[in-house]
Amino acid sequence: MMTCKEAATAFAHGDYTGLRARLHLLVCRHCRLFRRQLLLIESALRAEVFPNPDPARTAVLERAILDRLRSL
Amino acid sequence: MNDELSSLVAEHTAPLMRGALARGLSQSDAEELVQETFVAYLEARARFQGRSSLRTYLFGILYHKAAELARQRSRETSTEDIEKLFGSRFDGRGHWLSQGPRGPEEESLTHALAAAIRDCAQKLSATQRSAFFLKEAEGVPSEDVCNILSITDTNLRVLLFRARLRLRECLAKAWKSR
Repeated sequence: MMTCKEAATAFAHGDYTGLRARLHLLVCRHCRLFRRQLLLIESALRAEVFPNPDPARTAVLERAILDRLRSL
Repeated sequence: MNDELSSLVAEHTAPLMRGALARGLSQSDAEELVQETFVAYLEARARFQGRSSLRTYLFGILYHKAAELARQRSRETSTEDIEKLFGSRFDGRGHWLSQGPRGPEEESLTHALAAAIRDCAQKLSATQRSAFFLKEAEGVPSEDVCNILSITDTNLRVLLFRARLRLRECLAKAWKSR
């Protein structure tokens, strides 16, 4: 059986599905919480920290880029 | 040529902007560097050999330029020893000390939690943010992420490992202070 440190290390390396770590989760609520927090952080990063840029500003930027490229 | 340019710009501007903002650049710096990225690509596109996708190639140019800008401004944040802190959470047998990990238990992303994560993400280095963005948000293969950021596969693993730990520690701290 993996120790908590080994399981948490695997999760922190992004390995959420390894069999040994999942077995460990069956008996450890601390590691279940740790894993859940990491997954939550990753989904929050995708949704909140790396949001899509403002479409109106992007349209203006696209026009500026095209003007510049065409003038080269 | 005009059609080709239009579709190139229409297809890649938004993802490049997202990548530039994800790295922590200001809106105006991001817009400037995205423009420069297209110019650099156009001036040297004969060098693009199609070994990676065009998107990946453009991210490479963008992040190279962002690194240059950061060097000019010398504003990389200092880093603490996150692995030492992580190790200190466990006893000699590898079990969590006392109460185990602290922090949010909700599975859903609340407004407050999202704000806390945004704050914590600001504390990552530009390279960590870029690596996370490319790997987790854009789904760029590890090999290409390494090429874009000029790092080895081992560096990338360590970078992401430390970023996850740093974010979790920061989040636990932020949560505790509420």
